[in-house]
Amino acid sequence: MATREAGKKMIMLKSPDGMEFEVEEAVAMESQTIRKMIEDDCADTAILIPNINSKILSRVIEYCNKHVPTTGATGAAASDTVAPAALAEDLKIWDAEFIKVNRATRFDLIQAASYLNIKGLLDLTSQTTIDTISDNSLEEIRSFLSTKNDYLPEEEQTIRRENQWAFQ
Amino acid sequence: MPPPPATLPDELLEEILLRLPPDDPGCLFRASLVCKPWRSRLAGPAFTRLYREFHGAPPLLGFFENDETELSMIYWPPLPKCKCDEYIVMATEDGELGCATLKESKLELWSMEADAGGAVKWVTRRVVDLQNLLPSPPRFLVCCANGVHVFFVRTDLGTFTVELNSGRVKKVSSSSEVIPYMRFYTPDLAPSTMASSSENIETAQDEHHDQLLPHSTGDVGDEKEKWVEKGEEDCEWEDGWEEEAEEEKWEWEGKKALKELFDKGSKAIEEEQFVHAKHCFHDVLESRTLYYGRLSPLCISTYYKYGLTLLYKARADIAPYQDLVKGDDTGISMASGSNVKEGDTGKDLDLAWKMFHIARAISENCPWMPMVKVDIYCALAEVSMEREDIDYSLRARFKALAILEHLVEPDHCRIVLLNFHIFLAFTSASKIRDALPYVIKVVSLYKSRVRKLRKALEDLLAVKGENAPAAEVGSEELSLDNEIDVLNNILTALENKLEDLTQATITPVSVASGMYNIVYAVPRAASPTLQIAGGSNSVSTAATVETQSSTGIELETAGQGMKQANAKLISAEPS
Repeated sequence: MATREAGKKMIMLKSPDGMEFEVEEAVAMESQTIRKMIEDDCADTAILIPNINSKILSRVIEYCNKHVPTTGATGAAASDTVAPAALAEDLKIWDAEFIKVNRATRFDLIQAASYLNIKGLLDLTSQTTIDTISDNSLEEIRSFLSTKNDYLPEEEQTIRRENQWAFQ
Repeated sequence: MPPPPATLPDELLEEILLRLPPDDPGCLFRASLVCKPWRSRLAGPAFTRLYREFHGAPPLLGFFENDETELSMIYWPPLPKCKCDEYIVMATEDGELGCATLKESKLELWSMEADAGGAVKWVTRRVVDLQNLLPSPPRFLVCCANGVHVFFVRTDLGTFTVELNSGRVKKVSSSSEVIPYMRFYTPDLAPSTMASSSENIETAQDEHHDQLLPHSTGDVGDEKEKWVEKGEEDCEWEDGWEEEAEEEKWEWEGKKALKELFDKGSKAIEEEQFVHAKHCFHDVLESRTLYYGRLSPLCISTYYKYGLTLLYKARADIAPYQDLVKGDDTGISMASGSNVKEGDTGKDLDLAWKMFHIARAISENCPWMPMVKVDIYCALAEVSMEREDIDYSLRARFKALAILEHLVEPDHCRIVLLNFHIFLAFTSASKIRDALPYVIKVVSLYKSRVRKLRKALEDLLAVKGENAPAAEVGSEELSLDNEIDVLNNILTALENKLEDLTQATITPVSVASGMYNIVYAVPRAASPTLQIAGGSNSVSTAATVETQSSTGIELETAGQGMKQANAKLISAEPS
């Protein structure tokens, strides 16, 4: 049913707070969840995306617009003539800028990426988070993830001692 | 705008943690210190499985350097320097990284251990002497099947598998190019039988730890099962301490003296001076049980030899026509035939029975010496026959046969012998129908064995003929000749027995007609093959005699009948 003519097929996405986003089908199909819906012919009218507010949804669409394969010659991709390597480099820089968001937004993006099943976005958001975890101290990780330390001091000491090599 | 989530949902947290880099295992450990839910999640089987799937091939954790023979680990302490040529890496019972190495004939298992101060070092977990397990000295370790603790060991006779936990040894290949097929052994994949066996390992290990305490001497009265568990590996531990402890030196002297006395006893058996041998072994046994404990595996050979001596002595006493008993020191041979000695003979047999039983009880808990177990069961069967307890004798033979079938080729001399003895026992019990399958089996085994032996002998002679025309007979040749002799003796006895049997089955009319038919038909079918076998037998004997005379060595004709031949075979076994 996907039409590849000049008049590209558009899909309407609705956020739970009432906002509507009209996106190209190819962009929407970056999300495996939406792709499944389209393929199952459930996308005749607007698709309601639960749990994802308009602010996050607009960012997700922004990401998909950027990452939609250039072979489709979309309007969002500014330059069609750039070499693939340069394009990949360009995307990387764009991603780095894109993910410079506050903690709450990042978590929302992770949830959205997970729900919409957008592998690239999930990788990007998770990897950024795990980098934060790897680089920071335990205390920083805990505050970052709002997790409470429920170890008793001696318990923590035992684990540290038994796995000393990991903490050097 | 909804408030930001305090924490990520669990499944998303997992999604993130999956991306912890596998080439830095420390990350996983550090993350597990964030909080307890994280720890249980990271250590859980679900996460471990996802983590493996996510990252595909496992990361490089460490490597061997060819010239240094040292395991270079990322994050782990180096292996202790040792003179060994090769290590193989393996997983320990509890899934830790371990390694194994062969030091002379001893298999050493190492793993890492953290002491109270947090320093991590390599420690020896277990030492297993392979010398008694394998029929030939081990040359090198080929590889190890992780999780099940099966080692592939190369010897001059081929590659053997050694199952450390059961002690089972099996020849698997004549080539050293063995690559075992295995997969990761993880608890979630393990079938239930495996799981229970790994539990056994754990309990065995616990006991093992208990016994690492220096044991007291003089635990004579302590007959607890636990002492039976005292494995050989513990003894190896003691040996390892020899240099350290002063008192060990004294103990070593004592051991040496006992060993000498033991050898003296063995020699006395060979010379058929059973009374002398009896005294020797009695003394050795007394000292050893006092030193090691009554149920120590270290006493097993002494129990066995003492029992054998008693059995031979009893036999010599029973047979008054036995002109073999020559020049016995104590002069007991003269009186041996008389009825006065009958009570003593019974006592000797009872004692022999008891000795073998203790040896058997110990061997039950020493899976690493399966051959010893076979010997003990055979000996028990012999004693039972002397005591006319045929049922027990049969039971013991069957047990020995079951063990033996795992260990040696199907036509091995011992198996032929065992089958023959089972046949004898059945005929003694007049269970002729039961006996017949064994006759057939013995005959077929005999044929294949003699064929093989003769070929081996010819090959040997061909080589010898080229190299050494001088009158020099190798020990292999002699042992081959001896084996042929033993087999021939069986056959002669078998023929006699069969004759009796056929006579016995034809004459009595009381035998039920159906059974009569079976019994009658089968020996008939069997006898022609016997005739053929007999023919080849005489040929082989002639050949043997010829080779013997040409090499100028007198052929040791074992014409004393089955018992003597068998006795020789048993005593030839290494203790």
